[in-house]
Amino acid sequence: MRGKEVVLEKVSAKFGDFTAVYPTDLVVNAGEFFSILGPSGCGKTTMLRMISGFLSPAGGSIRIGEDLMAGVRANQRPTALIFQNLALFPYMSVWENIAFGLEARGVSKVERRKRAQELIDLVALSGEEMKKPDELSGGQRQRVAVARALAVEPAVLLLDEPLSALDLKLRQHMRAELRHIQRMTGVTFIYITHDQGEALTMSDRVAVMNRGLIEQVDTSDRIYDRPSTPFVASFVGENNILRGRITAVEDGVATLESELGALRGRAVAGLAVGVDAMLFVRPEALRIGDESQSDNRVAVKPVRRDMEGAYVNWVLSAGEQSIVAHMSKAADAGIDHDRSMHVGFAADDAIVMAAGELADTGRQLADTGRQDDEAAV
Amino acid sequence: MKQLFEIYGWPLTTFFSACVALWLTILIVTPQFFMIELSLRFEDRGDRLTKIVNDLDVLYRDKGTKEYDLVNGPACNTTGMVNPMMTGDSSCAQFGEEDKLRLEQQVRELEDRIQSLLVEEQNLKEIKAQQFPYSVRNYTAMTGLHAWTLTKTVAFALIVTLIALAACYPVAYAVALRSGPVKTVILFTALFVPYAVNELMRIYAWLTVFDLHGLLNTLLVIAGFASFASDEVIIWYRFPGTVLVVLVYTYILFMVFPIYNTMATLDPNQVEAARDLGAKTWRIHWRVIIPHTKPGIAVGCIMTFMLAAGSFSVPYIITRGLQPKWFTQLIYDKFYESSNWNLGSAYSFTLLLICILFIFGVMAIFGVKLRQLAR
Repeated sequence: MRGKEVVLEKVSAKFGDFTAVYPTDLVVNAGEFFSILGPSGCGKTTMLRMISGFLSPAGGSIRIGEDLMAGVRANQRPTALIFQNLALFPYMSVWENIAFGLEARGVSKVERRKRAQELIDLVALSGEEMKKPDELSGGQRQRVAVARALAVEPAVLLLDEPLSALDLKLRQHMRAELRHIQRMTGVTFIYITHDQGEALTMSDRVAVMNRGLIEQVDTSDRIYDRPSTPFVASFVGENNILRGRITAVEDGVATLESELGALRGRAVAGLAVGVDAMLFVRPEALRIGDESQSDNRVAVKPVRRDMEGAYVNWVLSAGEQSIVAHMSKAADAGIDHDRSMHVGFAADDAIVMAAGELADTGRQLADTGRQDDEAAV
Repeated sequence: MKQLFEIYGWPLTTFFSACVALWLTILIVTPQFFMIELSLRFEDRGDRLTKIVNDLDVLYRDKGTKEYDLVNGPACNTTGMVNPMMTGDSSCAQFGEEDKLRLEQQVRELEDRIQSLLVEEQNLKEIKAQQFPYSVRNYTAMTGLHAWTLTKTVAFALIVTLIALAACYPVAYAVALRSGPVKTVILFTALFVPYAVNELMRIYAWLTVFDLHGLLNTLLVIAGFASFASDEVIIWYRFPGTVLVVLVYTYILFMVFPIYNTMATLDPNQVEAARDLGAKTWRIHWRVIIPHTKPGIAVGCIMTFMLAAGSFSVPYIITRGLQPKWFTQLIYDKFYESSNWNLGSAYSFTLLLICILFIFGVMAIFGVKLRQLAR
């Protein structure tokens, strides 16, 4: 099996008057584990359905390898889709499920059985061949779905949040397993998720999508460390957001005049003096009480200290502004709780961007709730 | 039961339990038991006892007539017919003493014969009372002609079931899986509204199609293949196909809804997954949709078959005596024309038995369990 590249040129999707996906250019490299991350309703599933052929784009073209996909139906594309609810065939045994794609291609039963067995070994399901899907555990069903999709030797495997129904431990285990299978097979994986943990841990590259637009395509590290839009910065990971007005931009460092005084951070390209801006700084980039070497210092009052296990979560207040800081256990031990405190951060750890749309935290919360419900099911 | 008491309280629970018990006894158990009992008693219409009973009837009647004549004189008229209304007719011959003696002699002879028959009847009844009353002769006594009728009825019901299945599967598929919400409502209403009309009305409506001057013949006349003037029209009621068509039409809803209901519960992702894996349409139906819809198909087939095999009104109204009778009509005749409830019960139980066998057959073919059907 060899993966193929997937190239989208000005691809858009509309449902009536509603634009689900605005014209989008995207290149997914051959053999890459690529994730599309975004909140529900951002158009990521629509994107996947267009690539798989269940939905025709309103405009633009999709190319897989050398072949244009216009007019090619879902059952003729070199793609295989893993559904959110897996959609295993309940009346077929595990091996029949896996071999269904081969059956549809007219492969003889002996050959089907043999090929299914190879995949059963690949996904570590030996001994479960004759069981029906509802006799399997969640993780096993997951593996059947992967094997079933791989059986047709797709060049591109499309995954629509397939892990969302699993509990946390199993989900983490399956992440590693999916990554492993992807490396072994070399198939291009396009993975849709609203769970940033999944996207960041598994992917070679991640596209962050919002309201029908891809805002940033980058490696996991760069998505986290170098977000290019306020939405990405607020959607991926936690960030403290400090608002103000740009007073100077020099050598890629912007100075922001805020309620908490002048703050300095890396400027994204195209930032001009005088515009409203936001400074983003990660909770783990903040240092409490360290007054010597910081580019930025803010006086804060402690509100709450939450022990999170691996680190300590400090909720602080600076005037109206709430600030969250993560301290390692060692650093936390040196903090004098009673004194009024300062937090500091290096200019290089902060990013300054022109004010723009932030991730809808209300929606994120709703997403998390849904996720929990699904896990409970 | 205890749970019911807790939920509804004792007055309501007792009341409803009593109602259910009453219903079961009066409308299910007792009649069925009565019919089974009847069907196991063979009434031989050709034996000596029946003959004696019939002969006694005749003798009593004759004796009554003669005694009437003795009192009033014999009636007479020009045609020689006995007519009590005309006994006072002056044109009648005189009733002499000789005639009277002859009549008295005849009455005595009749009384003797009646006496001897009554003795014989008494003896035969006593013998019969000592015999074991039950046998399965009612079930084995079916004549070849009736057996043929039964076979034909069952075969027709099977054909009706197959036609209904072939017609309903695509309809249910279109409504359940292929159309948006608006279309579903429209199709559903279109399916449902005709069935708000009374069943008899729906059957009678077909007469306007099959009648001598009905729609079909009118179309033929317009097309020039027939003529009303020279009576060169087709008598459609003679064709067994008419009953088939009307049966399918009458009971098709009982096929559509079970299939639609199970099909609507199919996860559309399953169909998409199959298509995504390269399956062609027929394979998707064969491997994904039909296995899921099996319980619905089984229920639809069972209901349609039982209704078609047990249909009385459709063959009665449509054939108008121009085709051999259906088995249901035979049963009716046994009960109400020849007053032989014993044989009628046996016939209806035979039909019931065949229907039950059909149910088990369908369940075996579809690999469906009783528990799945109940859903």
